[in-house]
Amino acid sequence: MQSSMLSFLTKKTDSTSASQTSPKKQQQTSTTSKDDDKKKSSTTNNNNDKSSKLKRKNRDDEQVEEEEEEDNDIFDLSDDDHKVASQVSSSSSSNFEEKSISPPTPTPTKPKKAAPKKPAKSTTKKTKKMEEDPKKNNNNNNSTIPAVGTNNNNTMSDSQESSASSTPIKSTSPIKQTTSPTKKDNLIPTVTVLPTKKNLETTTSTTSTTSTTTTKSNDENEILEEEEELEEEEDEEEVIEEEFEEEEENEKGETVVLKKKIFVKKPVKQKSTAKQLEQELTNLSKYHPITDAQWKKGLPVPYMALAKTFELIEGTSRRLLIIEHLTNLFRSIMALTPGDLINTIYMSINKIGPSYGGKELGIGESILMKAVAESTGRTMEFIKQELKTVGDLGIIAQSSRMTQTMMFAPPPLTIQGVFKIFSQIADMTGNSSQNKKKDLITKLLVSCKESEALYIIRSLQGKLRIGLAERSVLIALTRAMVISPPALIASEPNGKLDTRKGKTTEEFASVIDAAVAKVTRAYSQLPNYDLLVPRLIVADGVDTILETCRLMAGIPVKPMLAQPTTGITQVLDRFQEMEFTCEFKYDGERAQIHLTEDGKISIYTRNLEDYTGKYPDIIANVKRFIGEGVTSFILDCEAVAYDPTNNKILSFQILSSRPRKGVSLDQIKIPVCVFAFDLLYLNGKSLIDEPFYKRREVLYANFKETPGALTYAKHANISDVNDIQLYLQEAIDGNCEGLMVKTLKEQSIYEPSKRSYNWLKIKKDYMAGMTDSVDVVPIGAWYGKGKRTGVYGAYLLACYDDDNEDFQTLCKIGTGFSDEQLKEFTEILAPQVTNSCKNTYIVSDNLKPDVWFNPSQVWEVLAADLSISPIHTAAVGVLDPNKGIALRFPRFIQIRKDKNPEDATTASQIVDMYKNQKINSFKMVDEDY
Amino acid sequence: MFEARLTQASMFKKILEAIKDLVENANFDCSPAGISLQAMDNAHVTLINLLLRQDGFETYSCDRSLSLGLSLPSLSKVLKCANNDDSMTIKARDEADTVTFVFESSKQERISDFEIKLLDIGNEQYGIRDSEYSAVIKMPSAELQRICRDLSILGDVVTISADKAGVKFSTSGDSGSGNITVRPTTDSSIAAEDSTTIDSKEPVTLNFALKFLSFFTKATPLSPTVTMKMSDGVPIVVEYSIEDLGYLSFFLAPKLE
Repeated sequence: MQSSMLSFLTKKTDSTSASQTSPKKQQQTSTTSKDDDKKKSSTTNNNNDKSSKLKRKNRDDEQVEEEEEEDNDIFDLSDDDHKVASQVSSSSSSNFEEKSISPPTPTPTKPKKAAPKKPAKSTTKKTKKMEEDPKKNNNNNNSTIPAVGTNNNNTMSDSQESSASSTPIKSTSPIKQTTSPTKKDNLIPTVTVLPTKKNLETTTSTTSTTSTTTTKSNDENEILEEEEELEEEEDEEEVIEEEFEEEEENEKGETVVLKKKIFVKKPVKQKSTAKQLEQELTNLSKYHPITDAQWKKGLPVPYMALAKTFELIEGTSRRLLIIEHLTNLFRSIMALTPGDLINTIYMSINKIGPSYGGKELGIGESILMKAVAESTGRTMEFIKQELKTVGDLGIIAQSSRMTQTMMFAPPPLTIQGVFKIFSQIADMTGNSSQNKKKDLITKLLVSCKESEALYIIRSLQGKLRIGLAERSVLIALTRAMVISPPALIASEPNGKLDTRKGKTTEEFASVIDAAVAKVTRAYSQLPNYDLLVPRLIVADGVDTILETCRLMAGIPVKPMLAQPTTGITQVLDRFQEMEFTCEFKYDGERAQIHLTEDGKISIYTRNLEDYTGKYPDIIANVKRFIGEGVTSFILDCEAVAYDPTNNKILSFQILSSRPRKGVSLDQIKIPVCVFAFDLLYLNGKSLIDEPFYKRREVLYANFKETPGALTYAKHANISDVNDIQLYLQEAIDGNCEGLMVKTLKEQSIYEPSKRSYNWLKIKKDYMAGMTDSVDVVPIGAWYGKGKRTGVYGAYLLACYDDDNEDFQTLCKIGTGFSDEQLKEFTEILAPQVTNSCKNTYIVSDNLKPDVWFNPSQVWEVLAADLSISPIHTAAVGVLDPNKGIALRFPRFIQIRKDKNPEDATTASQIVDMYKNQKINSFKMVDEDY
Repeated sequence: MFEARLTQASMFKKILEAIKDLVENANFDCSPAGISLQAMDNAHVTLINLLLRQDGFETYSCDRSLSLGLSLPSLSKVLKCANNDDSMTIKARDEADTVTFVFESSKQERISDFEIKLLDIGNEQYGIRDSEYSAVIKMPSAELQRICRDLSILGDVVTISADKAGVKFSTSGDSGSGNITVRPTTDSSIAAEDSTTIDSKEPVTLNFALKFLSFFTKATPLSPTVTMKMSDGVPIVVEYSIEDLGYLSFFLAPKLE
């Protein structure tokens, strides 16, 4: 997406620029010797079995090469400029096509060796070029024009390639100078580029992929499969003598590839055999965190390093490989720029702070589209059109080449910089915030190279979709800690930093497993990387992590969850010979109440959302129900709507009608009572490692049952099937959801964020759920995104109202379809598409499918249950004047070919089904206990 | 200590009107030689280059160079508080975090001063080497403004082709296309201000985003004439000279086909 007019103007950091330029001008071209080196290195890359000797030789050559590369840069830039100039003047559209699709590459930011140049080099290559590339030749005559660097990219990938063949450059003087070509008649402004220091010192992108292979000390030197694939685009032509020619080829190759990919999902997941997997893992284990890194010690981590890692991760579906790629990145960061580790972790999990902080990206698509349009000089219409076929704005951003050239290429993005802008965007509120957000995003996109744009857009959308789970990030972090512990980094800062040497795989695996268990537990107690990471990246950080990262009042932990069961017998099977207890499972909202030592009370949901503002009544009640001497606590409980006059529990639906934010105490119409069942922390001491019966004792001792404010969750220590059955019935009759069954003594510690088998739930739904399926008609659909590009991704379903002879919407459905079915239905329904919503469809204004269908099919759908919905219109006016009934969690079962649309389930049947549910209390969020 | 007094606040107002839509924040670099400003828009497509020589000011004192990073929207609002015939004095202490603008009415009966907070804006200087262009066109600035306005009706990209015979601006869009050709003035009786001259070494054709060119023409009040310099493959330079004070020039990178 980059292009710049580097050659036109002088960017100077100080006044030295002009004088330094002149000697350079004579050496724009590179030499054949460089090409030779190049060839050597490329052969090494391509032939796996080449001996390491050659490689070493290459490395020896590097010193020389570096200088030559510089020359090369200069040459390439100028040459490139000619080319572009020619394109501009000849308006060759086909040329442009190539340009416009080729992937963006980063700016060459190679530090310069301040070595004297050999002017003799200049002409050889050029002559060659003229012979070989007649097209360019045309323009060599008037090529005095230094030109718009639309395709600086060529230059850049070029320079990268050259730098790739060397180990990171030991630069002495970080000044880079690029001159535009000087010809006999110096018509045009000539230019020196002296990017800022920061700009320069970050080496970028592909460098490491190639250098990984080159610097490998091992004889086998297999090229990693993914890396190879990545490189292919750049490397396959490397044998060709003429370097520029090669670039040209690449551009073409790339064009084709990208065009094809427009309709296929871009990343092709690899299916590798176990053997290949092992091989790849072996190769990845050779990663050298210092020499293979793309940046140097102490410098900010370039965003490109992360983007490259994301690419590798997206390219595989193997969890082990994903973790290993990320581990290697973390190892480099810890060795070189430990300060960037936290930000990198947040970027990997696509967050900009601890999850309980509530900071979110999730920028609307239209803002992003505007930003993409602005940064690429394309129109919104074009991008909208493209989005229909591609389905991923990120890919569009990456592949949209600018038609608009730039004055100067901006400096490469750093993780710090991107993170800072992400935070700014997330914090922005107010009237013109949309525009400001767009401007910031545009600014980011303008600086993007290669896949950076893809991942920036996806991060901003709030869905990275590279198959990287937070758990994998934690494992990778732990692995990085174990493989390259900080103590080792401190003692031999330039070593291989690998503790795996001398250990068998099994030994190492057991060390890792133990460490992962600790770190995961530590994170579940203290889910905040800002606090966790500094405690982890110290000597013995992993060993002491459970002591240093304890539960803290004020920092919510993900609550422990229960496994669903289908019945009492299953529970008894599981808890044979264990003491257990049965509790009512109240139908409210899980709430975690924190009181810190300084008296601050906060309430979090099970998703760690801050609901302090929703429950001022609970906060007011805390003083009433805490016992004497309680200074801090974390209480796990259920907030349930409660009728204090009748002492009756109300349904979840009533609770969910409370406003979410800014509730003031005197406006509360629906009082809430807290049903406490667990205590995690009391007076500065974590209780989660205590058995449940002890925690319960402490809970009862320190919290007083207070009518309408706090009630202990009703429990009974029973173990007989019949007793439990009666107890369950009692719970359901008492407007509860069912029973929770928990271990009391053995295996009864509190495990935050875990869905444990030590907690089981028996819900009435599981026992007698909605057994009747519903027959419905698809009347509209939305285009699929991502994996579902090219087919309809979700359908709008309706039931038939035989009184009014119209179709009323019932739900949106997107699950239960196989890929084949999605394709099949798209084909079947495409002919049924009509221009607009039919007048027999009763649809809320809030539902706007991308297409509408004629009623043609009947689908059988199963749902978890039915609820009153403000969006859907089924049986509207029957139970509520403005609301209809909706299916919750619908799943597609089959097509009912034997039925016509008019034979679909009727609205009155839906009403009956709704009424037949015992208590009409449905949870919107808290599906699980 | 930096202090510069300009007889006409309106001049500064006009400059700001011309650039404030392109750049949000910019550094005014004050040196003993004068005030200069260089800034690129967000998309790095245009570069603004402003120079106000010290001898154009009524008084000018600057012991050591300093950079005043300002939010242009804020500055523009402050300048709106000045009457057109007010004089303006810019004052800043060394290492200061604010800059003061003082407006005095011509009869000295009204004096207002405004302090604006300085911003810390990353400073990058771009050296511009002036050399020969394939075509240098001088024309009435109002004419260019009108051309941009007229063509904007139809399209968003303008193709400018210049040779000895004239300079042609063309655009096309969904609803149609349009061309405007301006020929060099031959009638010597026409004042230099109103005449068009083309100094063409070789024919040149370039495409530009009309949006940016239109932004540039907001500088029209600064000068009766505008100079455009073009060469194949390099940014166009659109320059408005500010009488007795300096110049404001815009660089715009071309668009590809």
